[in-house]
Amino acid sequence: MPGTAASHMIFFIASMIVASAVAGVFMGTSIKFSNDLKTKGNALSNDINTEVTIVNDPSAMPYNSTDLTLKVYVKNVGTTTLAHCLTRVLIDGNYSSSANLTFRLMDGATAWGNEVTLEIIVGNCTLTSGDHRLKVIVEHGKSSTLQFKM
Amino acid sequence: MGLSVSASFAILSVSLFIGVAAFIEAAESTLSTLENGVEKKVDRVVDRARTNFQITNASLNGTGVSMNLTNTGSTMLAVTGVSVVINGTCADENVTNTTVEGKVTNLWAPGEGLKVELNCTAMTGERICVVTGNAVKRYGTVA
Repeated sequence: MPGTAASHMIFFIASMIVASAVAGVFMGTSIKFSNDLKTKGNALSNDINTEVTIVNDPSAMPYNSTDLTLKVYVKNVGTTTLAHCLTRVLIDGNYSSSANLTFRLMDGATAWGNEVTLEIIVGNCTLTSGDHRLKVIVEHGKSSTLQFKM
Repeated sequence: MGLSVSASFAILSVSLFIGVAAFIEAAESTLSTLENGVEKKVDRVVDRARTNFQITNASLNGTGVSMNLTNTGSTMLAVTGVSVVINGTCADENVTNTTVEGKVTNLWAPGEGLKVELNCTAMTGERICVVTGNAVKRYGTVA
């Protein structure tokens, strides 16, 4: 009889350990999945609410052929405040490195919020006469494209 | 043996309950966030579709350029959201005065005229590009 009780006790403890382990793994996975779902939802919401537009006049681009700079004006028309330093520029498909970009928020704004215009001075930029394509990519992967002529 | 099965079942049931509850809470929260995002996006698209304005005139005055714009759409626009590009250069920081129907306000209602005065160097025939806060663009020239 004592042997039977001991074996029952061992089975009980073993089943508790197995059940607890399974429950722990399940709960851990569920909570991690839930957190990931929330993070993805927030990212998608930011993506939906991010929108910018290039303000420049495509027929009068402020290009300085002496110091090879192009001024680009980008207005935040979405509802999220963006980190302007994360903005990147492609001209005719060529990436302008961040070292060649100078950012300035216009009208004394301290953050790139809704309806605030960002001035980007693209340095080391050689543009020949003809048609060109400018693409500005902002935080959350959103972009705005402008075709212009020189 | 029966006690082991019952206890294990209880532990698994509780964990299942907690796990499913956490998932449902996350799904509900995510759907709510996305719903708000989509609503805002739809509002922006509808506002843009209903936005229309025209550059009535733009002329040189003593110190720069004076422009009259008319809101011909059906959306209330923000005066502070309007950007002006003259001859390729953004002149937002050169705006000296903005009035809607003679009053200083930030609300530019449908049918109303907005007068923008800028202190800048411009010449007759130079291009003007005006952009509203919701990205609607119109072009004109300095007369």
